[in-house]
Amino acid sequence: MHKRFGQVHAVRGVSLRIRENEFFSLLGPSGCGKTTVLRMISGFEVPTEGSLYLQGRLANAIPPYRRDTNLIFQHLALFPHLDVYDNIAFGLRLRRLPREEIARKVRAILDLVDLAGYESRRIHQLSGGQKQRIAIARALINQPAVLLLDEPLGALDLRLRMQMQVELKEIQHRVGTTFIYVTHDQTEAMTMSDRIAVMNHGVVEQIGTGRDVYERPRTRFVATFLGDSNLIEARVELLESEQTVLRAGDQRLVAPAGHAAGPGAAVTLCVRPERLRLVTPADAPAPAGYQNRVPARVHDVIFKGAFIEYRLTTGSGASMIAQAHANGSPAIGRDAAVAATWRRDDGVVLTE
Amino acid sequence: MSASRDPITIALWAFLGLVGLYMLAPLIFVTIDSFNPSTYGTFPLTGVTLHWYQNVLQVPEFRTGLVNSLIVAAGATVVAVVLGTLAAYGLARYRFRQRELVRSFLLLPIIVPAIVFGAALFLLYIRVGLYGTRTGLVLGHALLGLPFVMAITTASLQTLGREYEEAAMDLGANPLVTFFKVTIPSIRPGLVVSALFAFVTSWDQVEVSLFITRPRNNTLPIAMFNYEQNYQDPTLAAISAILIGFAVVLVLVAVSILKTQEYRKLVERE
Amino acid sequence: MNATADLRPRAPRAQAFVVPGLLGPAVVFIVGVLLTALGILLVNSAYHFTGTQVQPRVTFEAYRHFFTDPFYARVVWQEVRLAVVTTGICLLVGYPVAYAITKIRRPNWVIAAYILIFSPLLTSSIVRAYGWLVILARGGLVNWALERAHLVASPVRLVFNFTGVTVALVHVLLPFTVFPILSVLLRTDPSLREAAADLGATRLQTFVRVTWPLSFPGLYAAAQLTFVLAMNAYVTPQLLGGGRVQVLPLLIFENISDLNWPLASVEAIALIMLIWMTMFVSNLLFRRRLAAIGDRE
Repeated sequence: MHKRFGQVHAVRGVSLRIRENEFFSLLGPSGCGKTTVLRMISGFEVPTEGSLYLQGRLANAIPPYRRDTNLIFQHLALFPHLDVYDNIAFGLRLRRLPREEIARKVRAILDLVDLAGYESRRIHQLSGGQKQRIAIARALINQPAVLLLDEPLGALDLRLRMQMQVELKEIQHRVGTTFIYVTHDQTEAMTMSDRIAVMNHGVVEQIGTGRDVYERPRTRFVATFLGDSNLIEARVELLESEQTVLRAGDQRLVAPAGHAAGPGAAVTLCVRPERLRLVTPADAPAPAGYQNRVPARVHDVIFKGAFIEYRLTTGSGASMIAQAHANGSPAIGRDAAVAATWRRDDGVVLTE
Repeated sequence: MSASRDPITIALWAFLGLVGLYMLAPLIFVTIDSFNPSTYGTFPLTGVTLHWYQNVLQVPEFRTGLVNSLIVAAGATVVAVVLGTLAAYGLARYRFRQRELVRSFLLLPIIVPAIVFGAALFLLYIRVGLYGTRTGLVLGHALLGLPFVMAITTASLQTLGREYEEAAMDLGANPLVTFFKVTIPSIRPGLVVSALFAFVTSWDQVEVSLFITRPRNNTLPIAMFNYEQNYQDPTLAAISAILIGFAVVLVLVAVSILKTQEYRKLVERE
Repeated sequence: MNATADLRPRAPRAQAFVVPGLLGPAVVFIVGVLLTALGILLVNSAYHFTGTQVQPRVTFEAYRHFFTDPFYARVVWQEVRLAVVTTGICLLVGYPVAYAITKIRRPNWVIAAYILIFSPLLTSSIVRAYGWLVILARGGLVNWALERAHLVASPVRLVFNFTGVTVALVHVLLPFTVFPILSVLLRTDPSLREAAADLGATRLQTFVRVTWPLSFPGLYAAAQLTFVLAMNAYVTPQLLGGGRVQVLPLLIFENISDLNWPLASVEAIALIMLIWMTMFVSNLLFRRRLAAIGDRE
């Protein structure tokens, strides 16, 4: 699909195949086009080029009110002039369902979201979390083929947000509807999704499970957008069947094979901070299998609760981050000379 | 609040109080004068009389004027609110070429001086037979109210945003159902205010009505205007006092609504 | 996939008739009533007046009459003078009033202040003009008070002259002056004033260097609005001028009543041109200054 607003290419060739009953997330920074993709699926925007199929039917120009999708809006858009019951019954009434059936369905859905007895509340009397659940109920009661969620948890505080993430996942399990979730928050995406599409500048950079995109990022953008990473600019020196030998300055590094770069190509080696093991002093032996070794100096030590973060400056002046479990063992002091070591398969070679 | 007690602020407030007195003075003294036994409204009062109030009922122009004014104001309000709301919806919700030009064009009725519009309308109406008719008055007054309705309603629609309307469509409401079930109920406060504006605009209208009403079949302001030019006894003070009374009631109602809304907002925030 | 053909064009076609459908009625209404009426007025301005009736003969004699008879120059001069004096007084009074309102902290007092300043708008200009007549007339309140205090021996003429019209016109227009100033003052971020104070500005310096320049657009809008409304005033000069304060709106009505429609039309056109040209020139003069403030905000 492709979407242009005047001169602006909001979405430049996005191709997605979303499976039935899947919790699928579109993850990316603001302005990456993820909301536009969502609005094309819900029918508020028409793709400039390309085709959108919903359950095998071409749906490019079907207006939103004749589409089997429902959207949870960023600010929820619960009608302030209606009470909870009327909000939830809105869609069913438009389909002219019998009164008793509507009442029964509303009761059932309120049970599902754990808000039985709230029928006659006004919207402004609800807490943030309750509003979320009413919005979900209002959409799900129509039994849409796809439920679309446009960062609906953004306004909640951290604790409530984490609680709602778990709840959403549970609701999705119970009803089995396909969920498409838009967010810029990588933990949110990873907590809930079966698969994630990482978007940037209107293009999908990578699709995969949360673990996939985190551990095997395909591009530099994906590596930096999801969590912290150490990116080391290097050149391919030797391609072997099992591994790649890289050269970064005067360092010889080994990384796994399985990438498209040929000998002599400039690549980026990505290593997650929690994969680094620091040894001190700098010439102390590394644990078995930790073949890669970069001498560095500890620049700062930050205690982060579950782990300790070390900010390092390498011999060539580059910065690195290492994380170690805070398991009670004494931290390495500031200004200590250390070596950052890691195993061959902890690194990922990025060519884009 | 020690900062607000300094002499400059106190002087400002004293000035505000004086200006307030100046604003209220004519209304207060009209009311006092309505009980004045002197035909020429001279001060001080030598007694108190209700004679002028009885006289109001005796002037037939006031009675027909009142009826005409109510009908015309109601009609003008309906026309202005319907046309203005439709136009506001178009301006606030759709993008099209020359939208700013259309917006300015719709504000034209307030850019043209009312007295010029009145004269022009007279020249038009005597040609098409609308001179001296209620229809003519309704059309003229509605035109004057239209820009207010449009401006207020456009603002309400823009504050409302599109999300509620999109939510309704997403839930299966077609654009027409969305407009009546979601848009209109959501902007009701703005609609009420704009209707009030349109009504008051018509109710107090003088400059345009002057040209297009027939003698003996006037609106109330024109009947009063003519009476003031011809007689100048406190009968006019009496009817003015009645109208001031209406205005006071209106203000009190508005204040109480405002206060409950403020109150509601406070409760909501808790 | 034959659904493509009938589904694709739907959205654009809906737009194509929806926008004219929504805006059409209002546009047609304005064209049909306002523009047509103004067109007829324009045509009438060129016609010939025999002294008793209008003849549809294009002579432009009303224009010649209007621009050659010094009487009309005097009327225009008096009208501009009235509008300028009224606007000046309204600004001098209105600015401190608006500023004082922003300094009130108790919500009830704010409401009271709004009622004081804006509630006269709810009463007709006729009622208010009559009120001033009661206060300022020969046997009215002010003269009675002056005589009681032995400040004057015989009643002073306060009404049916320029002074009376000005006093009443300021009263009618002051709410329109206060409103734009007040809304700009309320919109100004209070932290800007606090920032100035924090940087060491005294209250006077804060006012002169922050509050005043930022409120200039409101002041400008207030001046324009007040001036235009003063130029258009009919009821107040008619009822309180006693025939001694001649302005174009009075002449327009008079000439329409006397059946001299060409002259009334010319006067109407002159009034519009006078107002629009004042707007145009003042916008040219102040454009730079307003744009600069717009950038700063």
